[in-house]
Amino acid sequence: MVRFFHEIELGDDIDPIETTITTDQVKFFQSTWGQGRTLLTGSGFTIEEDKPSRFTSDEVAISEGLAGAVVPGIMHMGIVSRLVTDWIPTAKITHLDVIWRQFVPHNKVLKIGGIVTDMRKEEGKGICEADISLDSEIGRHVTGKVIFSVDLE
Amino acid sequence: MTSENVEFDRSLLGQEFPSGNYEVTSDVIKSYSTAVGETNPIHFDENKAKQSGYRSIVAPPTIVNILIRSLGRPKVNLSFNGMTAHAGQSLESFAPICAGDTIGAKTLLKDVYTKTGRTGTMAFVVWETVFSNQNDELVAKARESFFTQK
Repeated sequence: MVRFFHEIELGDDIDPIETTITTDQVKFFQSTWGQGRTLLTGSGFTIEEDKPSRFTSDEVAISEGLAGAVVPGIMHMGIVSRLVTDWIPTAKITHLDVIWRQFVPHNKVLKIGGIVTDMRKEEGKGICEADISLDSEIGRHVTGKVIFSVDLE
Repeated sequence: MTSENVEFDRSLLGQEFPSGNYEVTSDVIKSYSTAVGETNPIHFDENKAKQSGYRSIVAPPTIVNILIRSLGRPKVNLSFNGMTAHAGQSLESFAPICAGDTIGAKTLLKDVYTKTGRTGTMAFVVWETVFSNQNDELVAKARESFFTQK
């Protein structure tokens, strides 16, 4: 397990994550933040009601022209961020930038990977930048960049 | 960059919409962390989090995404009425969010523009949201881009 800046080299592959996001996992994710409830009170705007969506229902997704229910972007963004912290548990992500190229389906094996593209020292910390991606057998779903800080020693 | 060839409620551009506050509990952090597959004990165990220098159980930085979803933004009234979906998202994290923190947010419509690709013309709507804690400390900034097909 990598812990410190000096253990990382430019061009290093970040240990990949392979995972499958099931429909039940998506439903659990939706429940954790209470889809349909107002978390931030007092905004004065109407919140969508909790109802089947393209994220939880194949039927709704197909009616919108999709092949089936898809994983919410904010869910797989959370999983993508684990790429860094699974590799270096003490790393702190300061910037995560993702671009969605196609929807991420439920129940497919997803491979999340990254490569270190820049390294520098700033204010007593090691700063690393990495290009990241999320792929499945269908193709590339997500590309992006992550910047994170690592202890020097 | 805002396009002239798309109709929407231009009065919303640059207008800031403050939200109320949200208390981040250890239960929410644990549930969110479980849902995204986190196993790092700093997200589940208060002692481990404190040993790592945090005030309490600390949330993964992406937890602000669940707050964005409940901002309840005004309708932009785009003249495009096809399917809308997320195009991209950028998240900057400035300070940790720990159990017991109270987070508030302000969101603003940053930009609306069009692009034409293989699948036709799409309108992109960009929202920027800043999050502060109970000490008025900036903890995160998110920029989301949504596309809508014509």
